[in-house]
Amino acid sequence: MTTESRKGGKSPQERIKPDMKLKKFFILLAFIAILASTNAFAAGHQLEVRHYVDEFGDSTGNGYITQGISQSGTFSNSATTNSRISWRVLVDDSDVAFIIDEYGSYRVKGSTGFPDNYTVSVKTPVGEVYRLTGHNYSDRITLSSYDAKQFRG
Amino acid sequence: MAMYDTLQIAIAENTKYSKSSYNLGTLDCTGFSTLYTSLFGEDVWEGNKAVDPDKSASKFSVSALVGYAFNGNTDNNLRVGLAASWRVFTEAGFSLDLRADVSAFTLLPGVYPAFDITAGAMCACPPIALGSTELVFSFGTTLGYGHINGEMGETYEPSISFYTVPEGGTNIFLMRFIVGAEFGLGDFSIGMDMFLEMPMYSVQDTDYWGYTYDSTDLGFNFIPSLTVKYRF
Repeated sequence: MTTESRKGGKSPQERIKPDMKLKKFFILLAFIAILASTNAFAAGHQLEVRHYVDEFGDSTGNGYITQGISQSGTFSNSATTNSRISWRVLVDDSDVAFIIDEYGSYRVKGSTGFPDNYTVSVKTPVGEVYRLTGHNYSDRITLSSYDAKQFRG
Repeated sequence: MAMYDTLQIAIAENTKYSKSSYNLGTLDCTGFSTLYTSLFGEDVWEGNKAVDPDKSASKFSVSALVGYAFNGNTDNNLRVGLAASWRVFTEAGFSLDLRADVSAFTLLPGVYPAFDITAGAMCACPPIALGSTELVFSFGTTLGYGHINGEMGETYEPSISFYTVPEGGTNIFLMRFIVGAEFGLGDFSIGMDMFLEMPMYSVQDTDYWGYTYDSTDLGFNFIPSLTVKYRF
């Protein structure tokens, strides 16, 4: 039998088997890659500690909490609907601020003399909705001190 | 809020000429408390004792008050009272307290036990952070009714004339202006309420020459009080 098998070559089933294994391997590899990229994406949005920098780009040693990478969202106004934004939240022991880039690159800016007012709505998993007050004095929407406490707490 | 694992966030612009709205989606807050503690060396909740997450939206509170009423006459009196308030928060940081008070006092020790019930509204200013606590100023007014017990013929001498409490006592209608300050300390807060009270009550006056007649007396009391409040 053994000799005959060697002579006669592989059966059709035996010839297919390596291809199937290879295919399964690639499918598994693709699945792992997708899973890994998903995890990486999720991990990127997790909060981490960073430090403010001075005008030279050097760390000031003052830390804040923010996401690992900017998150995406959408915005609408009279000129556009559901266009893309990227945003970050910056939390430290005195302030909570949101930095928003419209279309991913045009930062939402305000004025020191005439700051723009915003209502920041926050919904918790249990369905509570908080309406917080924010002002944009520069390039970020900063919550009022009381609301910043509420946000942190 | 950041104590939750996730938060959904939306921002609306409130300027006159632009009304952009931003849907930020979901913020993953996992690990926030640990990061905050490692970064700032204090627990996020400890750093904000006055706004304990379970208490930040507290609406109902009860207070115990002890005060002393000065009115410039001989019937200065000690007040003890209880107050209950229901807080309505606003977006601007101010809040409205709907408040009810019950207090008991004695006009001349042991002679005229009295009580009053008042209700009204207070405006509480946005809290001022002071380290691990916060200071809240409030002001408002209450209106109410009171009753002084007494028996026919009993008199006291608050000023130049002799008052006689009518049979069955006398009713008081009063208005109070209140200015308060309180320090938040977790579930509790301690503070001081300054009452300016204007009571109006029916009495029988006996004048200098011995004539007796019904009269309505308007008083004026200044009552500094210490308060201890518990927030549910």
